[in-house]
This record gives sequence, C-alpha cells and structure tokens, in this order.
Amino acid sequence: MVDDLLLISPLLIVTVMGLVSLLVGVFAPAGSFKGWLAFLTSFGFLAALGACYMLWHETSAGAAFSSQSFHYSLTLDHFGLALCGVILLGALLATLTAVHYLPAQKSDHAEYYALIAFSALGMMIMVMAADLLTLFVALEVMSISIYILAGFKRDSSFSTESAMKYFILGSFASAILLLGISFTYGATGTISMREIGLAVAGGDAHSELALFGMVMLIVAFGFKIAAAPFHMWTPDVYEGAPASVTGFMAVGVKAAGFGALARLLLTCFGAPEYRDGSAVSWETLIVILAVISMCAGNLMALAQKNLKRMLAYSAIAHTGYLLMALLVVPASSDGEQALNALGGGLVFYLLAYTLANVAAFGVAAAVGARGVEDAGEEAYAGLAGRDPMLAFALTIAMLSLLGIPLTAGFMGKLTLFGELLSSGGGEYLWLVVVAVVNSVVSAYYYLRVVMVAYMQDESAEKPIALLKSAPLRVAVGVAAILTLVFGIMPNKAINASTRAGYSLVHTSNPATYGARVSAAKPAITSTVEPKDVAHR
Amino acid sequence: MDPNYAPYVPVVIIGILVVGLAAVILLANRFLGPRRTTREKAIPYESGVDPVSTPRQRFSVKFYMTAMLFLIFDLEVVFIYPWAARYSEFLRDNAFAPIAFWGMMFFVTILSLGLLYEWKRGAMDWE
Repeated sequence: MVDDLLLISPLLIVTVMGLVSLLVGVFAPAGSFKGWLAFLTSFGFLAALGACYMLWHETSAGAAFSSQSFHYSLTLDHFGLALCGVILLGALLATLTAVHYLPAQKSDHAEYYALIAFSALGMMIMVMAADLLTLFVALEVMSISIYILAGFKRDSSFSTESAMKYFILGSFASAILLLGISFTYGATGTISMREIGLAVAGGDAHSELALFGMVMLIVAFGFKIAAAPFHMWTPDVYEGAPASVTGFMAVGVKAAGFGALARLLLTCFGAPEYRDGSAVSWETLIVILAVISMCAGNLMALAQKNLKRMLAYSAIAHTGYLLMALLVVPASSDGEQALNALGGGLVFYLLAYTLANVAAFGVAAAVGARGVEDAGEEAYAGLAGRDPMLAFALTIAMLSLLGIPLTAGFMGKLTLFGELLSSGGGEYLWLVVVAVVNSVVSAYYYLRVVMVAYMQDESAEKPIALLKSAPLRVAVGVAAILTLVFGIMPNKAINASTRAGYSLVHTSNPATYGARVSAAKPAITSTVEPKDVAHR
Repeated sequence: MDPNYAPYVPVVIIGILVVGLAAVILLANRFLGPRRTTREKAIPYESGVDPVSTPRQRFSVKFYMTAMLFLIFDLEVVFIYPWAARYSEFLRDNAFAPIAFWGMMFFVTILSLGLLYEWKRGAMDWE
C-alpha cells in the first residue's frame, strides 16, 4: 500500500511545493524578492511532470491502486496522466512568466506560487477523480485558488472586480454542480462514477432524476470551461486578472474541466439512453453548446481591440472546437475506436491550445506589466521593432490558435475534425463545416494581432513598456518552440494522446457504449476480458 | 401513489403537524393573551441592543479571521471524531493500521501548517 503513495507522487510533489511556498512567504522578510520561489515551484512542477512520465510507463504494466488506499476515489489511467502532464506544463510555463511580472505589478507575494500549486493540485485530482465527491472537492480546491489569483493585484479595482465576478458566478456554478451530484445520487444511490454508470446502464436508476442530474452537471461544467451560453464571465475575468494568472487560468481550468467532463459523461452517462437515445441526450446538448460557443466566441472576438479580451473570446471559441471531440463517442459505432479518436482529438488539442495560450499571455504580461493594466493595441503596436523574439513567439501563438500548418494548432484541428468525420461516417459533416468556417472567420482577429505587432509603428507618446525578464522570455520561447515541434513532428504526441483515450476502455464503462441504440454490439477485440471490467 | 414515495409519508405528516401546532400556539397567544404594549416592549429584544441600524457598517476584518480560525479547528474535529471512534477497528487490520495512523497525521500536519501560516501572518493578534 505504500506503493500507492508512489502512484500519486505527482500530486504529493505539488502539494509539498504549495506548502513550502506558503511557509516561505511568512518566514521570509517582508518586501524581499520572491521570484526565486517561482524557480522552486517550477522545479516542483518539473519533478511532478517527471513522475507523470514515470507513471505513464508504469501503468501500462498494470499498476493500479490497491482497493483500500483511496477507496476507489481516484483513477490512475493514461487519460488522467496525460491531462496532468498538460496541466503541469501549463503551470510550469505560467509560473515562469510571473517572476518579474509580479514585482512590476507591486504584488510580489509568496502566496502567488502557493496558490498556483494548490490550483494545479485541484486540477490534477479533478482529472483523476473516480467519484463525484472527490471531483467536487478537487474542483473547489482549483476554483478557490483561482478566484484569489484573479484578484491578486489587490489595489487594482479592475483585478478585484474580475475576482468578484468570477467568485460569484463560479460559486453559482458550484451550487448547480452540487445539485447535479445530489440528483444523480438520488437516482442511483451511489457517488462512485463507475457504479453510477452501471446502475444507469442496467436500468436500476430513476431515469428522469438521473437525466436531470446529468443536465445540471453539464451546465456546471459549461461554466467552468467557458462554453456559451455560460460564458458571460470569461471576457471580464480574463481581462481583469493579472496576465500571468490569466494564462494559467485559460489553459489549466480548461484542461481539467474537459478531462473531468469527458470522464463523467463516458463513465456515468455512457448508456445509450443518456448518450443519444432521448431528446435531452448529452449528444444533443454538446452539439448545441459546441455550435453556440464557436459562433458566439468568434463573432464577439472580431470586435475586440484588447489582446486579453480577444483571447478570452477565442477561449470560448476553442471550447466549441474541443466539445466536438466528445461527440466521437455517440457518433461512432465502435466504442474502442471512438475512445482512441476522443483521446487523439481532445488531449492533443488541449496540448496545442495550452502552448499557444501560454505564449500569447506571456507576451501580454511582458507588454502590460508596467501598470498599463490592459493590453490594448497601443501596448504592443510595433513590438517587432522593439523585441523581435517576443513578436515572433506571439505570431506563432496566433497562427497556432488559428490553425495554420506547421503549428500544433493545425495538427490539433486536423486530428479533431478528421476523427469526428471518420468515426461518425459523415453524420457530423455539417458540424465540421461550421467549425472550419468559424476558423476562417477567426483569421481576421488573430492575424490582426500579428499585423499590429509587425506593421504598425510604436506610438510616440506611449512607447511599449516592455518588461525585462529572462524567465518570461524562456517560458514564451519554449512554448513557441514546442508549438512548432508538435506542429512539424506530431506523431509521438498524437500517439500518446490516442493511447490516453484508449485507456478509458479500462477505467470507464465500456459495456455501456460502443453500439448505437438498437444497433448490434460490435465484437470486443481488445485484450481486456469482460470480467476484468466488471468487478473494477 | 408511487410506492417509492411511501416511506416519506410520515415525514410529510410530521411536517404538517409541526407547522400546524406552531400556528395554533401562535394564534392562541394572539387571541387569548392580554396585550398592553409599550414602545419598549414592542421591540424584538426587550432589554438588548437596538435591532435596527444602518446596514452599511464596516466590520473589522479581525472577526472574519477568528471565524476562519474556528472553521479550521471545527473541520478538524469533524474528521477526527469519526476516525477516533473507529480507530480500534482499524488497528485490527495489520496492513491498514499504518495507513489509518499516518493518513490522519498527514491531514493534521497540513492543517497545522495552515495554522502556522495564519499565526505568522498575524491573524491571532487582536490589536
């Protein structure tokens, strides 16, 4: 059972880093430079990333928690580990952008790094959670830390406003999530996701109550992942929060939210009646959310002049694209193939999105550090003349978000759309067409940023207040280089994410999906024996 | 009626009884009792503080700090009591005993670090 502690080593490392930063904060003399804590925390994230990598190979050899240790409240599979990796990568790079950014904002407190570590911890538990209460507690650990981080510039009314808005709407979403959990519990009598799935599939559940719970859960996650029409908080919060926080918030919360949502839908509500059988099946709901998010995000982004606000609307649009990845399961007639497709689409896209966003928000932090507060066009016009490297990284980030070949974003979109088409057999051709049209529309506002950075002149009366920070440049540079690397040589990463999706065969409820309603079940070709699945 | 709801019938009955009884008592008091009101007697807390004041008052943040400190210890107790009640049972299982012990120690350590943080930050200084 002590081995089980090794299996959660990424979580433990991050916890310890958070506690260390917290204590250093009170014992270090007030007003001293806290940037070195960023390196310590980043080192912790790097170690946790290494632990994830180690576990990735370990789990394929069949490592699993012994039953007593966590009482089935955590799942260890490639899907969770891959998303933990994405979250840790985002946290690592976002921490480095803060080293000199925070002192420039006069809010250099050690609590910043503790809160980043705690929210990363919450995110990691969220994607590994195997029962609804663990999921809820993890979500709260993540959310509460992020609420505080959003208001980290305490004397800026702008930042405080964003924290307040996020807190009120976020706690509202949490309440809806709890309502969903209690309805699901009422319908099935259990909080374990796996048992809920079995009860739902076996017809033991009160189906109206369970459906109601499912809708509530989807609504609550819609808030967290900023899917339209639950996106109203996003622009204000992204704009008001310090740029280094927004970068982390944009990537971490989204990865955690999508991981937990995918696991929840596949494990608890994989049964045909909930998946695609009735009028309020999650297939229908997800399609609606995806279309609204894509269109609303892209259309609103067209009008934005502020870099951070534009990225917020772009985050909503990307939520729309990402939601499409969940549709491969109801669309496909072959469960395993669908899970492969889900992993390849979702995890890789999240990786690409994380890298691009960290680079973009890193640049926003660099140009908006000296109290400029917002990253309007003036803040970075003519950036190419002042700092070619940052301007180039910004360009790569924008091209990746837009989905231009040779960037990770292109491979992500290609995989995601391709998988949806091939598993649905053309059923979702219309949705892919909508997504591609939306991507074309998004070219206007992404390329506009590049144009402002390269083709406009620096304004004479308000020159760019560029932050001199080596760690920030390293983080932005690494993110940009990885974006290119994954765009040019995506094979390994796509294989790994496919494998991540495939691991859900073992840890979700494969018996409940794989065949469309009334269609014959395909023969199971995997090496997993059905009995192995049944008593897990 | 759906047989699933049958167990809740007593709950509904006791709900009706509770509301009914309270209503009867209050109404009986109103109709039967003598009433000679003065201004002093009409306020909710007869010998207490004035209950009506402007709501836009500022509270010292100290009160919130105390409330948060209380919450830490309160939650700690909520988790430790059930653990302590079943601890002798845990000890019987040799494999599980160290986990039961060190698990709680881990929890208490994290809580104590939180307390240490609050202490050093000055949450306990009343002045």
